[in-house]
Amino acid sequence: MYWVVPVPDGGLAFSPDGRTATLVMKNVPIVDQPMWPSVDALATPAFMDFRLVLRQGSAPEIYEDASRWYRFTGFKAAAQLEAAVRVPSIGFEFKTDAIETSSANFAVMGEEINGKYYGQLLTKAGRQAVG
Amino acid sequence: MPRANVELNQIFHFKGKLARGAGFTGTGTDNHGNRLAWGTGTTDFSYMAGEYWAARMPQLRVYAHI
Repeated sequence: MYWVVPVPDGGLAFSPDGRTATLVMKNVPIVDQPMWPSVDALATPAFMDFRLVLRQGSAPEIYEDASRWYRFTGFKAAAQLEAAVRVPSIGFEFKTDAIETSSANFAVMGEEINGKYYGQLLTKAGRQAVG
Repeated sequence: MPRANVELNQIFHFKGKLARGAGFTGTGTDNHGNRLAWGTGTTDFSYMAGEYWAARMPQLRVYAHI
């Protein structure tokens, strides 16, 4: 899948120390398109429930490109996912095993600033350097 | 694809919390009892929670990439 969806209130929660994030969404409308990106790939309406858990590690990560106006500041993380997918028109359902059995080969969590907000940082830094 | 040293966000003019994971894999079961593997190197999920600039004003929202 490859798109962005709004998260309902309460869908994203953080642990008290802010180091664990849990994102839960239910009945998210999606498109089952196993042959994508083929031009004639069949697209079938489907729905997904999922729970994503990220746990912040201790290794800091900073990605910044001033020419593209972004800065990410955070930490490497561990990420796991469980999900259930339903494709009603073909009567197909799939449920992953428990979240503990999943893994991800890349994950980070932290804060990002980009675009005009990054530009404001540059402007402020420039003023301080001049002043 | 999300990886180190690339722009992870899918919202421009943004400041806030961001997390991204990629390469999710696991196993599961369909409604016919078949055991199946799921996920690939490009299976990625994320959240973006904060302020972004749109329609000439700041917006406070939470989004997920699925």
